[in-house]
Parts: sequence; structure tokens; C-alpha cells
Amino acid sequence: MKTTTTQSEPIIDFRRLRRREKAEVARWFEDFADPVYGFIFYRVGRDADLAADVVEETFVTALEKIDRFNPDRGEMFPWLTYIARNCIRKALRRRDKDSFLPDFWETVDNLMTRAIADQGNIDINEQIEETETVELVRMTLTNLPLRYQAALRRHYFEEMTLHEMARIEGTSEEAIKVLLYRARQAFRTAFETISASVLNGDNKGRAIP
Amino acid sequence: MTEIDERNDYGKPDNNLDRLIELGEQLPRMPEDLKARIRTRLAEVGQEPEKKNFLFRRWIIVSPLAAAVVVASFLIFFWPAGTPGTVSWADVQKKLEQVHTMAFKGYIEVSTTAEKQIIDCWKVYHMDPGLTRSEKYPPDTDLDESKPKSIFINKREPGLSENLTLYPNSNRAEWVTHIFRNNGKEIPSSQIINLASENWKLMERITADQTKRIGNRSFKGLPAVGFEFEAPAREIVGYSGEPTGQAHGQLWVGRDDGVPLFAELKFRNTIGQNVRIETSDIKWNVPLEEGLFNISVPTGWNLNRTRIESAEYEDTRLVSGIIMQIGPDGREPLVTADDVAGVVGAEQTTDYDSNVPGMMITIELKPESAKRLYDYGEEHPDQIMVVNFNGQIKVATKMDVTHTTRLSFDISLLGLSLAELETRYFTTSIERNKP
Repeated sequence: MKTTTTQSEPIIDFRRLRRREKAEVARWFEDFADPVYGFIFYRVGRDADLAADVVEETFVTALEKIDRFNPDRGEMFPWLTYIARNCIRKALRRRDKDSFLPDFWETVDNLMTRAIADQGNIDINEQIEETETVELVRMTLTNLPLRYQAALRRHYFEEMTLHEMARIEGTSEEAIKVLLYRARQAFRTAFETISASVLNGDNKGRAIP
Repeated sequence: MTEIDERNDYGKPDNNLDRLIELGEQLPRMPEDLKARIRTRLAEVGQEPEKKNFLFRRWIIVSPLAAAVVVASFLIFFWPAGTPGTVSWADVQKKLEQVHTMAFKGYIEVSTTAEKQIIDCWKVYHMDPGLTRSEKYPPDTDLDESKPKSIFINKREPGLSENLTLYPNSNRAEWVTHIFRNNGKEIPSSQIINLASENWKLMERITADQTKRIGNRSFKGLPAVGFEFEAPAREIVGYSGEPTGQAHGQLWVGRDDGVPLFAELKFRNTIGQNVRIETSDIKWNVPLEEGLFNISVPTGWNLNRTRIESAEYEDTRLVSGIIMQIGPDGREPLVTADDVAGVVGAEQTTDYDSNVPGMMITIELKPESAKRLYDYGEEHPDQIMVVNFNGQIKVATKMDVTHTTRLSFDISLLGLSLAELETRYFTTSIERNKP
């Protein structure tokens, strides 16, 4: 079976998915439903109704264009979020032409790309209200690559051992250590970037989107 | 590895970071009712033909336009020679030659040994030249009482097709402008202009021994006579590779005027499902308002516009010197440029509102080369076939189930327009007289 090669992305039989076989489409949707929902939820300002519409449009569009997905060029989750960004932009424009969210997230995306590429650090601004921190953390997690999300979830929330994680991933404990290290670094960078964007006025002085 | 030891630093004490991450335990999850809604939508999409890829479109079953074509073809093809009653075949033929509008309701039901379900139902209107409207309704609903899920309006002229799909429930619209080009035929095979009348030409294929009278009944008070028939499904549903084996049909026509009132067609598709197409409330040459076919989007709706440029080629090859290697990912190629008999089509899709352009090309392989590739794929279903196009890109591909010597693949990464692609890589002399 041709599968994704990167850890923690669900195993997908692309051949069957391209044929739109019912069982594979269902499995694909189940595997990515929550991560895509989380990604979209925060980007539409935590508006559950709007998120629902955008998520639906994202999956429908993705299935319609599934032939264009090439596993050799990247993972499924980033591809889905790429489609989601377009859907989000359109939905927000439809709802509110003056919405600041598209610009805000575009700024965040650009900053994160640069920050990760430069391995640079942006100081965590301690002025963030504690009540907002939880949402910022969740927002950050939903924007991480799926393999990092899964690693952090298993390690921190499900309290799996390295051995258990390695068994699930079909790899060594050493590889899991590296994965966890990178996931934590990615989280730190993403969190700092999003926090800085919020506090530096990239959302035009509004509260956390 | 940098100065940081990734393997040993994973557990480096960083209480602040740990505490921070732990705050995010309750991530938002998709509500179950939304999951159910999307599952239903995806099931519908999964039944639809692959969008914007005419070369591999499975015409029948779901596409409103295609179904309309199919039903029209079916009605024509099986018009019974020597219809009993007061109508002579000559009368019928004369009448059919003058058809210019047609309206009907259509249902498509798919069943397996485990389940049976109506997957699509429509009201369809054709008005020649080149106008079609198809309203799609939720399965198992009264088409006269329900609100359509989608409305498909299609205007066709040689070389151009405007396709507007409206989704009233979400105030969303998709407008696809499809431009057809070729360097051979007057009208590309993928474009049919006059659906109400074009298919009547199939009447020439009707023979009396293909029909058998099955009795009398009435439809909404109109007396009718019925006929049944059997014929190769592929021949009946001519635009698709979907049907297999024999198809069984019934046609009921008005006893006094020979107008079709009800039709049913049953066949098996390539994946073993039993398909039943029902056509009812058929109306011939009724006045249809032009407003039914207006290509316009209500104010305030979300509109997604797409432009598709399709080309069909004749006697077109890859220019000499191009590298083409096709085979299983990571292994020696099974097919090279020498195995390519020609280029048969290409399609460029441009989404006005997004950054997801598309360019697909389709090549024809020599039969023995195609068989080699096909056989390997059958023996190794877990492996994906990959095309190395001129050493520039490497993409996955698939065999066309209806044309086993054809192969299509996505070369969007080259970033070329269709015109540029033709100039650089094909020997075509296609005319470009349309925008």
C-alpha cells in the first residue's frame, strides 16, 4: 500500500481514495475531521456555525480535487489546510468584507514561516492575560503539522511512554525523542509567533480572534 | 545535528513549556452532527464524476447533464418500431424530427445485495439550441414540493460552454466557463450542443426486433402502451464506460399520440452495482421560459468561478527529445517516450478565486506498452505509477478505465499555460480562435 511516509499522518490508500471508494473516503474524513476542524475553528474567530460551513466546503473541495494531491509533494494535512485557507478567506469575505482575520492569519503564517526557517525566537510576552493563554495554546496546537500535534497529544495528554509511541509509529524510541524535541520547538515558535502577533497589534487591537 | 542534541534534549526540563502545552488538552473537536452532514456530502461527491477532467468523466449516473443525455439517448434508441395503437412509426418519426424542447423528471437508483438507494433525482429541461437546466433534489422527495439542492444551468455553443451551478441552501454558486479546442473535428466529442434534438439521430439504429410489447396501463390518466427490450448496456449508455453486460429497459408511450410517458432502464455498472434509471413526466415541445436558462447569480451569493480550457488532439505527438518515463514509484520505468503513440488531450483549469491551478494531459500509449503497464498495475495494486516528465517533474498517474491505452497526469507544477505547453512539447497545430 502506498502510504504517507511521514510519521503520525494517518495511513491513506491514495489509490482507493482517488477512486473515491466509499470506505476509504469515510476513513480519510474521520482521520482528518478533528484536526481540520480545529485549524478552521480558530481562523474564523471561533464561530462554530461558520466553521461548520467552511469545514464542509474544505472537505468537499478536497475530494473533488483529490487527483491533484501528490503524496510525493507533501502531506495530506498541509494540503487540506491550504484548501481550508482559501475557503476561510472566501467565507470571511462573504460574512464581513472588513474582517481583519484574513490579514491577521496571513501575518501569522508569514511570521511562522520565517521564524521556523530562521529558527529564531520571539519572546513570549508575559502580558498575555491568563484566561487568554489557554485559547492561544489551543490555537497554536491546531496550527502545528499533524505529526507534531500527534506527538504532543500522546506525550502530554495521553501520557504515553516513548516505547508506546514508538510502537504506534512503527519506529524507534530514539526517533520519537527527536520527534518530540522538534514538536516542542515548533510549538514554542508557533506560540511565540501567535502571541506576538496578538500583542503587537496584528489583529488591530482586538481581542484574541 | 546542531549543537542541540535532539535525542537527549527532548526531556530537558522546561516546566514552563510543559505547563503551557498541557493547557491545550481540550482541543476543539468536530461536532457529531456536523460529521454526519459532511459524510453525506462526501458520499454525494464520491458518486459524482471527477470534476474538470473531461477525458475521464464518467458520464452517466450523476452528472445532471450527462443523465439528461443518457435518458434522451435511451428514449431515442429504443423507440419501438411499429408502435401498436393508433400511432404509426412514420408519424412518430416525423414528430421526433421536430423536437426542440424536452422536459422530464429523472431518478437514478443504485442497489447492491445489501442496500438500495436513490442517489439522484432531477427535473431536466432542454431547449435547443444549446440550453439545459437540471434541478437536483434530495433523494426520496417529491420533486414538485421540494426545494432543489442544486440547479445546473448550461449554455452551449460551438467551442464554448457556460455552466452555472446554484446551491440555494448555502447561497453558493459555481460558474465554470469551458472552452473547447481541437485540431480536427468541427465540434469536440466532449461537447454536445443540442441535447433535445441531437440524439434523435440514433433512431437509425432502431430495429423492430429489439422491442417486445408488455401491455397497457395509464400514466396520470393517459392511456399508454409499453415495450421492453434488451441490448448491450455499453451501447445504450454510449457516453460512459460505466455500464456492463446487457441492459433491460421499458418504454411506455401514449397510446394515441406515441409521446413517451415513462421509461426505465436497468443495467449493472463496472463495480457490480445494479443501476436503475427512471424517467417520468416526459414533456415534448412544451414552451419553456427563457428565464429558466439565465446564467446569473443572485446578489450576495458566494461565487466561485473557474475557467477550463480543454483540447482534443489528432495526430499530435510529443516533440522529439522529450524524456518520458513511467513506472512504479522508485523502480525502473516500464514505459518511455518511445512507447507514446501520441498526445490526445490536455486540460487547463484556472480557479479565479484560489491558488490551485491545474493542468492535466492525456497521452495514448502503444497497445503493447499500455498492456505492460496495465498488467503490472493489476499485479501490484499497492504501487502508484509515477511519470517523470522531461526530468522536470515527477507525478503520480492512473490508467483510464474506459481507454486502457490512455494515461493522464497532472503537470501543473510546470507552471505553463495550455498554449505554452503545446508550443514547447506537442506537435499540434490546434487553432486558437476563441478567447
